[in-house]
Amino acid sequence: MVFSSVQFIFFFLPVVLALYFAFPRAGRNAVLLVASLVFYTWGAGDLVGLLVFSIICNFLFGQAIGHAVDAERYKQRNALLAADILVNLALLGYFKYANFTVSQIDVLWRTVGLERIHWSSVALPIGISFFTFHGLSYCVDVARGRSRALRNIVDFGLYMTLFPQLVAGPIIRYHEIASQFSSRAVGIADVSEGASRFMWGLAKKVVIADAVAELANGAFDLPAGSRSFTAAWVGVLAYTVQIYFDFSGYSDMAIGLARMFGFKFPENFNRPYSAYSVTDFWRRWHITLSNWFRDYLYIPLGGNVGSERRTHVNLLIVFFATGLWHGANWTFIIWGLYHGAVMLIERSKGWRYLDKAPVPWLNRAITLLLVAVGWVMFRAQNVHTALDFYRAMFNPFHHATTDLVSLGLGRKNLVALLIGLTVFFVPRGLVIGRSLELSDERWVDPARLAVLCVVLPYVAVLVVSGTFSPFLYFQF
Amino acid sequence: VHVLVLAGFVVFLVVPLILTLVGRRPGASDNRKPSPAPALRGDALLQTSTYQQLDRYLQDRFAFRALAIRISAKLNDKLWKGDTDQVRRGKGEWLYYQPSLTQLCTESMSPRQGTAVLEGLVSALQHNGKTVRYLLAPEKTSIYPENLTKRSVTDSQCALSAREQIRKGLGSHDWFLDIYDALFQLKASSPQPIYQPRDTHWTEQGAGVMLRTLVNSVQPGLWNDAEYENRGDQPFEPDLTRLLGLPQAISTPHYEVRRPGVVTTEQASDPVKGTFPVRHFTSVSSAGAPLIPGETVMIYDSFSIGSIPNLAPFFADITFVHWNAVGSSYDLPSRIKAAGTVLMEGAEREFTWRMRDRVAQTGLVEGIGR
Repeated sequence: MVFSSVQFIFFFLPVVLALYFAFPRAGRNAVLLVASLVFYTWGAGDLVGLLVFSIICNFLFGQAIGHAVDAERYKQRNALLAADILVNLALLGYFKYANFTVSQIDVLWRTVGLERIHWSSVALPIGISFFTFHGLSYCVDVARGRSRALRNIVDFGLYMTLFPQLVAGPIIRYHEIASQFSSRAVGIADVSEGASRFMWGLAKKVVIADAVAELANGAFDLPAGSRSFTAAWVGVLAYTVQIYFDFSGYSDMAIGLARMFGFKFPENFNRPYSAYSVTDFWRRWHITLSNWFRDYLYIPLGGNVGSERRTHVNLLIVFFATGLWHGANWTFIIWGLYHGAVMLIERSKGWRYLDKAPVPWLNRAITLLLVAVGWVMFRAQNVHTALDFYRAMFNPFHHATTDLVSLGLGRKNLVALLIGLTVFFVPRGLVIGRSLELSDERWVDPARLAVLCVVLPYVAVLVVSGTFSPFLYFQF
Repeated sequence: VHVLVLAGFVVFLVVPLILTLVGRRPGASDNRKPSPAPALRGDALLQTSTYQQLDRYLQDRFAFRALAIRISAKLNDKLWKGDTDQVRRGKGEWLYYQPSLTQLCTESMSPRQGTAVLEGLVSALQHNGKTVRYLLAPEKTSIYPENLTKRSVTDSQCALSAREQIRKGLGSHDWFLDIYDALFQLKASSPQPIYQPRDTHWTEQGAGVMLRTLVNSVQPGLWNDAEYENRGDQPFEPDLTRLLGLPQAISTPHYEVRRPGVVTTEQASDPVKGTFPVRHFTSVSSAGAPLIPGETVMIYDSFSIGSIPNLAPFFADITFVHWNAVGSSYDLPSRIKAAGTVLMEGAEREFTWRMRDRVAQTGLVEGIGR
């Protein structure tokens, strides 16, 4: 069930909100846990069993690690933590990467003349990357003594499954939210701020992201060799807009929903396309993922404490993992390593401090270009498609059999693309820019509300009419 | 302000929910029955298909659905001028059915394989002594390509080539009826379009070409243009505007066959689950007007559906079976065995799909007997 659907907005959400506020405080976490499990089952079916297994497993490990910490038995703590990490990574490895790994081995096998490997595909449970990372964060935080283990499995289950963040984040590190399970207050201001932010995110998703997605899909789905120079650039710009408005819109919805239930989630985006360098971009894009990898991978690897060479290796490992986390495909791995490589260059040349450079807008433009070039690899079905796309992008004389007509560039998606691109260049200091786009605490803001009043009816029409699936002839 | 925002949000969420729960139902926008409720018990609660059905159930019953669809369609029509998944906007008021641009190229069966299947079917029918005719109904994109946009022209190239392959593949058979030339002639001479600009199909004037060709191919000279009379305008709802979410009623010239001395009676129809009923007509002639004797079976689709009453008066006994009934519970092989003449009409875009799903996979040839 996606947030931008009729069944979520007009059926699931009002029922859950009503039940949540109808219950006394002591029962509210249980209400949310049940709602979250229903939400997950709605999309994943019997794979909810895996989520429940992950909850029980991490809860028990957390308890044991907590006892070991309290008793100052550090070897035992380390062994338990290692076992927990192993179980979580094994789950993630099997369900997310087994198909990819087997297919790669199969290619090697057949290259050396061996028989094809017979393998039944493993179904990918939705949100496994997120709930696995939540489980790991919990046990590591408890092991580090940063937070105490939860005594109540309902509270822990809620941390793992809380439906606003269950399938697409933000990724919550346990210590960021630990205290909110036992004590949180929900006032009118929380619900209205949350509602406002949810609607804002919904508008970003259905008005801008969905409209430009048609253009991006058109460009990326063109057959090899038929993509013209202009089609490629329109496609990559459209995807650059799409992925930001889609993902940040989803994060806004998640943060807004959580706020309605009294939870304060960390921010996930902060004007990433205004970044002055790729290093700066990663401080602004999917912030919770960057923070997770920094806390639980980069720093344990040694971070930037050791030699320059060691730091570079650590960075590349983190970006390899970041790429792989996004999906089991070479395209994601290459995309991750590309970002890692650019950051290494920025580190070695001192370019990551370019916000102090004499022509800041040029740095921003170059960064946006570098990021957009990376999106091609991220979005392409495979490396061949990405390379074909790059050939069209960087050769204005590239011969192509089809052009913009094949993308279906219509008024709606053109307007959405222009609005999307304009938002990227709204100056930070401009009042309307700040109140519309910056991640501040005040989402009930006159400028935002004015925009919502105009846009929301259109959003509702788009969400509801999106279910229109007429038959040419009456279906009997 | 917070209280106002909260109140607005509650109204936004709760009013549609309450109206839906109290039974305010959307109109029949989708041209189908609303999805039924899933069974929410036992193992079904752990199956994603249950929740997908629940999604459809809730969506179909959402109180403001018809209104939202209409507003969205109007915005699309007046402001965005955009295409939808099913409808491509052409030049001026012209609309095109999107699958007609590509469908022959998205099927697993190739045109060559499709023509081979049809040849097998016709061979079996002829082997059993039947007179057979197959008429390929040209798509609007074939007869009016000049009103397609550049994008649609680009997208339709593959399908146009596939149509050529089918016509070439079948062109040498005397049972194959190609009406491209006749339609282009009528188009050139007619002041009005012979295909509905906002519908997938031809007008009744255009349908006259099919009727004449079919009837004369079985009994030359039986068709008389003067007997196909324009009876004035009649209300008509174009299918493509319905697919856009903007159903409209227009007036269109209505034609009727009037054969002096021929009385045609429709017998009780046989309902077929999931598709149109099988319709059976008998005709008697009291003034010496000739009829095609014996029993005839015609397998048809939407290009003929409006012409059934105009075709029946030429046949002593004719049964109309929709392509979707082929392979269903209806015993078509038995009906064909009793018939002396078998007519088939099918739209170009669905040729390979029908040859695969309705002929090759239903065992029709085996049912008839080689």
